[in-house]
Amino acid sequence: MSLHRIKLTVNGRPIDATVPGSMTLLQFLRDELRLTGVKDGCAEGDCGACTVIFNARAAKSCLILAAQADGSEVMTIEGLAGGAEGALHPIQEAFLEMGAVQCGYCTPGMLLTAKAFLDANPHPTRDEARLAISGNLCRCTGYAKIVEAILLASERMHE
Amino acid sequence: MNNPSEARARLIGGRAIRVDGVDKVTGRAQYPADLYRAGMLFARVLRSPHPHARVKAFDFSAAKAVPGVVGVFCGDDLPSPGLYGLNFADQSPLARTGGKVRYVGDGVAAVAAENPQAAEEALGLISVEYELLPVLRDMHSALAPGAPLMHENRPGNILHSARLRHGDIDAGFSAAKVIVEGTYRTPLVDHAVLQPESGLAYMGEDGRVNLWVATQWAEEDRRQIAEALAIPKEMIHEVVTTIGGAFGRREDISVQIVLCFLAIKTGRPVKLVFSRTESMLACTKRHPFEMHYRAGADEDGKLTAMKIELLADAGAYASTSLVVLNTAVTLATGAYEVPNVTVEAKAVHTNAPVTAAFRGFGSNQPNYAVEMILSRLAEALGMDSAEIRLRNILKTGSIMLTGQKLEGGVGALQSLEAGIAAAKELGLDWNRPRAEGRKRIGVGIACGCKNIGYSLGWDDHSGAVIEAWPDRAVVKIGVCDVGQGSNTIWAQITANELGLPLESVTVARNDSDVVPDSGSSSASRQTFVSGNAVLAAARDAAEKLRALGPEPAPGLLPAIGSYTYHAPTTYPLDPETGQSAKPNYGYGFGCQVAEVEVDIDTGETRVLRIIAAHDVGRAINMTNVEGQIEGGYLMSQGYSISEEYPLVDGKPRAASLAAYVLPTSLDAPEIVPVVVEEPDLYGPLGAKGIGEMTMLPTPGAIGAAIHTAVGVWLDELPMTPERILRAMGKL
Amino acid sequence: MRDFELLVAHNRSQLLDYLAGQPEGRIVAGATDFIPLVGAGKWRPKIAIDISRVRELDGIDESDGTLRIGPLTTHAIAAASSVIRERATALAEASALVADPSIRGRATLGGNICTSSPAGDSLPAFLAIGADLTLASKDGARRLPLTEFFLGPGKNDLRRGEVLERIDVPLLDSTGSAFYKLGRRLAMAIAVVNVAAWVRIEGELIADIRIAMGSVAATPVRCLGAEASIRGSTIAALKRRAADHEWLAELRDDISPIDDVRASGAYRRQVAVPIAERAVLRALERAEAVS
Repeated sequence: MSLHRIKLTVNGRPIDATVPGSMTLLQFLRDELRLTGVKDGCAEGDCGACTVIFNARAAKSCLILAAQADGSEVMTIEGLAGGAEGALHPIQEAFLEMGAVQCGYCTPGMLLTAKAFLDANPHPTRDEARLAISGNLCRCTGYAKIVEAILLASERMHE
Repeated sequence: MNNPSEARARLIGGRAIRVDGVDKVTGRAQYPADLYRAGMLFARVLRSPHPHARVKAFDFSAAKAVPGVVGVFCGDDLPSPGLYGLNFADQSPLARTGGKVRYVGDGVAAVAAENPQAAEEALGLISVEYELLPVLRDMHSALAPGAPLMHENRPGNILHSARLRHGDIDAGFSAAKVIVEGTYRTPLVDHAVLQPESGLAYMGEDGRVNLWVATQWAEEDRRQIAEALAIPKEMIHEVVTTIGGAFGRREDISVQIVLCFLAIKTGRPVKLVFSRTESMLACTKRHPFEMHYRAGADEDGKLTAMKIELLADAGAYASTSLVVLNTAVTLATGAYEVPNVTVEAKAVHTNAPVTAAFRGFGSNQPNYAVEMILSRLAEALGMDSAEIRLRNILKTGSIMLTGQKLEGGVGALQSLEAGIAAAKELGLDWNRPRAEGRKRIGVGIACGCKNIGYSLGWDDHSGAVIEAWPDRAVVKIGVCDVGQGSNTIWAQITANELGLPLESVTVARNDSDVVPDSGSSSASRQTFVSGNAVLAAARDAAEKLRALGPEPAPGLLPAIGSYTYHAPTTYPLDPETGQSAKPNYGYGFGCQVAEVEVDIDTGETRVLRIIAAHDVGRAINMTNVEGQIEGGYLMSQGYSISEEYPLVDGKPRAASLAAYVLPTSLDAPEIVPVVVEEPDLYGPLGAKGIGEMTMLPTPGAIGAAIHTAVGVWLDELPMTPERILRAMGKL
Repeated sequence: MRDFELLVAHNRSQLLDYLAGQPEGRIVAGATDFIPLVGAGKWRPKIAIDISRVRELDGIDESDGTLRIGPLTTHAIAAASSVIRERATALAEASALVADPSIRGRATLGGNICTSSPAGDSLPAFLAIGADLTLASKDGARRLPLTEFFLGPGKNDLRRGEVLERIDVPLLDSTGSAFYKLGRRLAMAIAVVNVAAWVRIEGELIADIRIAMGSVAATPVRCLGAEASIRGSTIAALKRRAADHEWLAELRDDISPIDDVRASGAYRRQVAVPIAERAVLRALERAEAVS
């Protein structure tokens, strides 16, 4: 076993930690930082439930070694709501309004994928939105209302 | 006081936002794996690598020597007999010396350790000596004379047989102008709930074991845990956490018994989280069916006879296979009236994983066969495929194959007409294929019928308690909100009856110390059964609150309303004839029209558009209803064209989400939900169930569309590119 | 995941030192193959060497008629790169169909090559566009045509102490390339069959052609028989012959697909023909468009 000192920013907070070489970022966020909004659905990159924003891009945290996150900036679902008294982000509001949430297990990963996507592409087409979430599996919604919610959030964020 | 009519307009039938939504979009919702407790141990379960074997001996010495390992256990450490199961206690949570394992993934031994690494290391050091037994790789090998017995008390490996005789089958075929016949097969498929099974258990100061878990029915969990561990049910306190999808998967025991056992044995809090692969290996699946249908229709397209044989693969253990098979029998003619029917059905044990409840519960398989048969009869008669359905669809007054006369609230025809109308509006035509380059595009139409609630004589009931203050209320109900949004429905109904805004109603945590038993979240029953309980309890609370006068003294509050609703009585099938005056108290219906593109060189298939018209009786929450339609449809698209959990000699080949082909957002078509509201006779405010019906028409609609596109009938799910090319004679 | 010792290299010389000292070390870059394969016990490294911070291994450069691609280039970068889209179109198309957008943002071209899965999407593309590899170690560097690199499923000619340092693609005029993937779904799909074609035309002639396929043999393969039957023919003849599938018969002998959970060998053999045809014709159209 090797131990690695890592410094990174998680949800705007500086973190200084020592991690084993074989620990994934998913394990670090959940087990060490107790950011349990990051969901573990397969731990091999197939489902997208563990998606975080990693250096401004959506990334599956199960596919990143914690040691590789040294120097990075990470946002989890716990960091998405902000503003006055933790007001919801427009994407979160849109997910609620459109009914894009059912069991909720894919939701944090979906929201962060959507956030990184809309940050990079503020006025997407429907097909671009469908492509953006194509690595995030949802078993409840048939994706229809999730796509609608992303498009609604895009409108709201640029009104 | 709020204006009740304004509240009603907003609350019922509108788009109320789900009550657990904020917790879910902020990551605050806690699923079992998100729970931590001081001094917690981490458990792992060793699973059988063999589909059929006898355990000769265990050696735990190396595993126990791993630093941090607190205990290693097998079935020998459980009380005797230590078995569990929903219908029959025939399954052991862990294997015993001399006992058998019956599928790849069967529980063998359990480890509890101070950290996950030690638990994993110990798991790899457990030594088990197996005597390999012959593998029953499919139903035919299990039914062959002289086949080894999976369970000694089940001769011929038959768990359950059922038969049905309705009308005069010979006269029916004599009256037929055309007869079609076919054998249809459906695959083993996985629920693939996004949240893998997990839980936390610990001993309380009162000596009870506390279990936090995601389940579909806490009360039934407690019954099975108590039976397996030989402790009184009252010694188990179960709290239901947020649930990451269910679809039938969480009806059966997964982590519950092992967790309680380890907590009792070690005296420490214990957490058990399945990996995705373990979830797929260990947990239940949908029954593969082999179905032979012979059906006749007269020159007007009226169905005259159906002779049906059903074989269901019950897998390794009984679970609910008996009830699933009975459901298949009672719905074997789908959404149609057929005057003369025979059904012969068997559920057969094999060394497949345990097959059990899965959205549709035995109705999906025959419904697929029936719809393919209907489309083929239409072709044989030269009749429009919507027309043959219009001529045979169930209506009020129709006699079902069980002899049940439908009393009312039958929205089958309305769904079919709504589907046809929506298709016309979108220009979808099931009679003409289109060509685009090497692609052929076809349209298909199909219907579906599923019972609501427990059938065949089960007392289907649900309790609800409502505590009401003038300005707020709390709903106490033992319903598992698996994601479908039931808690929101309870809040809506309660707010509506009490004249409160939605935000003023909370739904109490589903805690066995706090809530009454409300039955399982299954059989599309909760809006119907518990909806009735909540409606009556809310009316009771409103009345009691009114009786306290305009300004009740605080000491008199809350006013407590309560009600246990019993659904209308149903009756079992006659064992000889399969007839019953009322096998079910209600049904839901739907019609789907699929537009499908097939690549004639590669067989690649894409669903381009789907119309899904479903009778929900009365939509309590339009957003939730659409969510069920869209999600149920896509799950059934997976079932129709991509999902399969293949076994080779009992060994799984697709125990990962890389190999198990769930639809992604790019595979989802444009879904047009059409909500039909034909009020139910008994449902709360006219509401019916919607959870399962949304899956039923899909395989038939896609199958018919493939036929329109490329001219071949597929008789096996999933309808893969390979099977399409083979049917086209290209392979 | 089984434990291992991780060495984090920060530059090329440190990396070569690590590799020289730990020649059995398993290289990890984007980690999108590494973590699942170690997690499933298919790889059991005692030592892993993280190269993701070695900047010398990153970047795309075009000069002197050669496209030089650093192995740390991600699929997302490759799919968006204008030079790759224009001059190595098959690679851009392949990269755009790997897994999903988030994995494409982490997974690297070098990783795709060195994992050497028979189904790896960029591999037929690299074979078709004629890539050469530069493999470096403390003792120096060697160049190897990609055709000689793959030895079997997950097996390749990367030797102890070596790292893939660069991928070179010759850029010629009047060429076009294309990629086609057949999967069981439209994202997160492992190829059932994938194919890439590259064509160079001179006047009315097909001066050169390369066709490569994946998931049809133990390694990604060049379809040499089919290529030979096309090379030197006229464009018009290729288009005509494509219509009646004549040259594609050769292709069936170039491949040896097997059954797996995604499809049968028979199905792969059947669909290899039409999808190769589509890739070849699309590559030809592109070559004509720039000639």
